[in-house]
Amino acid sequence: MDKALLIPERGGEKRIFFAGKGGVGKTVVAAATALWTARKGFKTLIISTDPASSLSTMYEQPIGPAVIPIKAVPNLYGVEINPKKTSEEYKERILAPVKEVYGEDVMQMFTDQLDSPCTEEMAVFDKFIDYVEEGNYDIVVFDTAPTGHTIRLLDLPSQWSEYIKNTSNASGITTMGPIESLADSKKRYDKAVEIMSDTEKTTFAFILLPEALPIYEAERAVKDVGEWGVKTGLYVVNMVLPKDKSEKSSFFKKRWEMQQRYLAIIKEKFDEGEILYLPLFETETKGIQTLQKVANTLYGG
Amino acid sequence: MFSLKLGGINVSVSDLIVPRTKNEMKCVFFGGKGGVGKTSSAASAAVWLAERGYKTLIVTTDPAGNKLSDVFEQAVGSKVTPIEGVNNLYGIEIDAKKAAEEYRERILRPLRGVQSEGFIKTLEQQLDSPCAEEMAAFDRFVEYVEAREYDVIIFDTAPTGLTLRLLELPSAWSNYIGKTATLGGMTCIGPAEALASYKEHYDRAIRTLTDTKTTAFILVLVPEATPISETERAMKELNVLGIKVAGIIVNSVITKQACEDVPFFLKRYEMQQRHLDHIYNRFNGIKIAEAPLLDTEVKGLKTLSLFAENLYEQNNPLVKEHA
Repeated sequence: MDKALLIPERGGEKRIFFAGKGGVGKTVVAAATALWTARKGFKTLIISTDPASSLSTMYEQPIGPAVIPIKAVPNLYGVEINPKKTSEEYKERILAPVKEVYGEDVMQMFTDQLDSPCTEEMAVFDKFIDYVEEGNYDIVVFDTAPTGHTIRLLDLPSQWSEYIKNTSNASGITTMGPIESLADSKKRYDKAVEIMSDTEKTTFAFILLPEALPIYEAERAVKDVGEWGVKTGLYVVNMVLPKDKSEKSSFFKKRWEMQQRYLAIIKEKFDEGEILYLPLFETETKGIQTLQKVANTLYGG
Repeated sequence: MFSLKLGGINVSVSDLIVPRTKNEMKCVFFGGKGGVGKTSSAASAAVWLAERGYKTLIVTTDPAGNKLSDVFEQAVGSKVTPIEGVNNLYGIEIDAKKAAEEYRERILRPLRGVQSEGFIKTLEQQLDSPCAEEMAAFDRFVEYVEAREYDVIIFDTAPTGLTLRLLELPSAWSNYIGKTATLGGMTCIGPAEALASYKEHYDRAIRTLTDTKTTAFILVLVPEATPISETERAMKELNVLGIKVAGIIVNSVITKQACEDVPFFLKRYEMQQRHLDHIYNRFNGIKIAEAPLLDTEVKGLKTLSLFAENLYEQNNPLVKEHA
């Protein structure tokens, strides 16, 4: 595989995002990837947003909302973001400057707007921006990725500034403060999108299963982020049935054949990125040893 | 199902999808993440019901608009279409993108010209999200429910708790519009009232969804760690709105026979069994049915019928095995 997908240029930084539906193995692949880069000598931070605190399970040690070194692996650090808490903080930060100027009902409108199913994703991405900009690590691995819709929604606060200008004209309230603070959000947002769409600094990876609906959904999601200039450079197809084992059961032989058909479709559809395959494991994938096995299977020793 | 387990006892769950009396109708929602088998579960329930004489409509939403055509292996469009090969069965695919646009336009039309462009743009943005597609699809669904032309209506994309909350959004705006009108000196009682009427619409939708006599909410998942915690979360969100989940379908369950003594697959089987135990523990009191992993894709009337038998009949071999 092309190692430049994981490793930064000399002196540079790399961010790797793993996108995909819940349950396809994002955290496993992200944890294995971070382990691999750390063991290659790159100072690596892995950021997880899984509410089930699965990163702790992966590395078999507690990992919380503050960055902590992974004991068993030099160069590796981990942090778990709590999406609920993060979205509360995000809302608070965005609304604070607006609150100074507007009454309760207008505030309610803004609050409602921020109170959507997408807010958690927005808030998490906003938090990512902190880490994206930090520059303390050679590689930062994220076990989740913003969708095209999340990116669009993040632009929302900057749209408000226009609205605020309009109403302030009508009512004569001074609104410079909130407008400036919203303009700052806009700058931050633009910078993040710029980094995300720079394939030298960022690798956007998609994890999927060799089945009809997941393929179709992956196609849609890839197109969606593509509209923001984000290119998907890597695909990981997970839970591929091993041929030798499948041949021993007539039932799984049929499933194996079915998967082979979908693997051919995947190759055809996603011909612009690198495609890697991860076989179905017989045990739950967790623990440093198993993760190393996963990493070696994907990226080589 | 519908062999389900209730407090460890096998019970028939077909009552979740069958109307209680001849004159009553039933709405069945299948929720869960993409790829877990919602459409298979929904389509097989539809076939099962139609085969038993219930006039059944299955509604799906699909941005590509071919989910049902794919599963029934015949063209089903954005108009109600009879499914060939089964009496009493009708299907419709809602084009979610188009529905969302129409929904958006309907809400915004009364505001155009009255409110500033910046404000309209903000609202547009707000309505332009994946959630808007779900909202719009749900909005359409309510129309079919209220038309009362079917014994059972099956929806393969249940709204999430958050989608439902979004349905209340336009009515929240109405309050706000009243206030700015005074500020800017514009008259906008019309739009404010139009938006306020969505509140009633929303209340009606919630009433339908919380009526456990006529509505069943079924969540579909696979026996793995992340899907279990996601299901738990989804259920909590629905509970906040007073919606009770009536049943859970655990899909893609590996049977012991299928493993044919290959140690590799037996290990996977055991892993799934541990997750299943977890599911029975966590969702205690809710009917749970297991659908086996098949060696074919779940599509075509024959396979759907077979899948339904496994899922909705009392003699579910899986449940026996588990018990």
